[in-house]
Amino acid sequence: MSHGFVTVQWSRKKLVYDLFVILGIAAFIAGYVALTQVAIDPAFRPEPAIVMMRAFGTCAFVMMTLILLIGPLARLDRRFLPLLFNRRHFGVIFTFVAIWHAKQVLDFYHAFSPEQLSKWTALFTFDASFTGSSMPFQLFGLAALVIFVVMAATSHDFWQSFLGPKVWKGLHMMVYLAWALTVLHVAFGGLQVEHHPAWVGLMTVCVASVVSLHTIAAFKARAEDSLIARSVSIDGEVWLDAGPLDRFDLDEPVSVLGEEGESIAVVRHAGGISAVHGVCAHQGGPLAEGRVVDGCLTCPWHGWQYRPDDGTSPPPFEERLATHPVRLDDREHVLVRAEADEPGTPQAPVRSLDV
Amino acid sequence: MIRSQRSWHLTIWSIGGSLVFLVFLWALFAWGADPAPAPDHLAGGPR
Repeated sequence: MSHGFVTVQWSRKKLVYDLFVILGIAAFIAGYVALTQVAIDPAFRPEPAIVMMRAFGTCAFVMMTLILLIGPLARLDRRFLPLLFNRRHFGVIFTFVAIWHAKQVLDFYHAFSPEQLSKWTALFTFDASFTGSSMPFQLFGLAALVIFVVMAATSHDFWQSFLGPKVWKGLHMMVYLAWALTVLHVAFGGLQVEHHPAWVGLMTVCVASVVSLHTIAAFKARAEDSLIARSVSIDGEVWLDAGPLDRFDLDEPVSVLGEEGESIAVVRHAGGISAVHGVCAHQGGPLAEGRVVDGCLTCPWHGWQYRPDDGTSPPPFEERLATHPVRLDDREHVLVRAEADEPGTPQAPVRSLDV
Repeated sequence: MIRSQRSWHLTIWSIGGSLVFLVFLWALFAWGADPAPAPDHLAGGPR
């Protein structure tokens, strides 16, 4: 959160997480090499340097797929929300794996040309053509890697603060372009020389799962958008009908969309029902997709927290969200005033007998 | 996320994502590149 910056906020949990990821990578590489020995006839088996190159490349592709699946999975099922935490660590480690794959390619394929070309010159001249059967698949991979490196280098909150949330988020949304470039890199590279059904199947499942889950999550979001809250006028003010009281499960916020499509996070917590602006002050995360932790509405993306009744972060943090007055109507429907109050304005949580 | 962002996500993934996947399948089944993407003179690593 905003209470000063340190280079990396390590904690025991993050160290364990990183160790787990690194051990997973080691297991994947070892498994890939072992399977290559078992599954491929020695007469057709690539030499060890190529096997390692492909092992790291495949590992990076699978890691990228897992990273990209976390978002839609968490949106489709709240049980996946914990995976959103530390996703940046996963991304940075993935970038190192991808860099190592690229280094192996440069050192093997581009370091020994008879013309004594530099590795980079060899890389840019060997398949930089779209003609005939050539496709510059390595350059697709390089372009994606540049994006991944920029993202990893700017992943710290310092850069989010320095660049501003909109620029930072825009920069990091380029992950989708990098993903598409990586798919092309694999499709016109590895897929053309490696035909083992297990490898081809793994790559196909990775691409299909990213496309399908993101599309399903986007359709779900659009379906939710069609449920724009009905508005009623009370004493000259517009109030949004957030639905019956029993719609709200304890500590699980609900998104109510205002007339402009803005999200308001309405949450039933121990103190009653409150409503705050639904967009996190950190990186614009969807607060209504988070949950209440330790009495605070907690963003699913990076765990920033806000007290539901006044929209402020607990000390020593100082973020403030706009708050909305809440009331119940005669049918015990929750009404949220469409117009927000100033950030940090305390609101009396609405209570009912069973809240 | 506001509504416009959600629409953008749906458009990008339903059209762009499907297009990328189709290109992937095309490369898999129909591209038929010369199965030697790395020319010999560059694949001269430490043997």
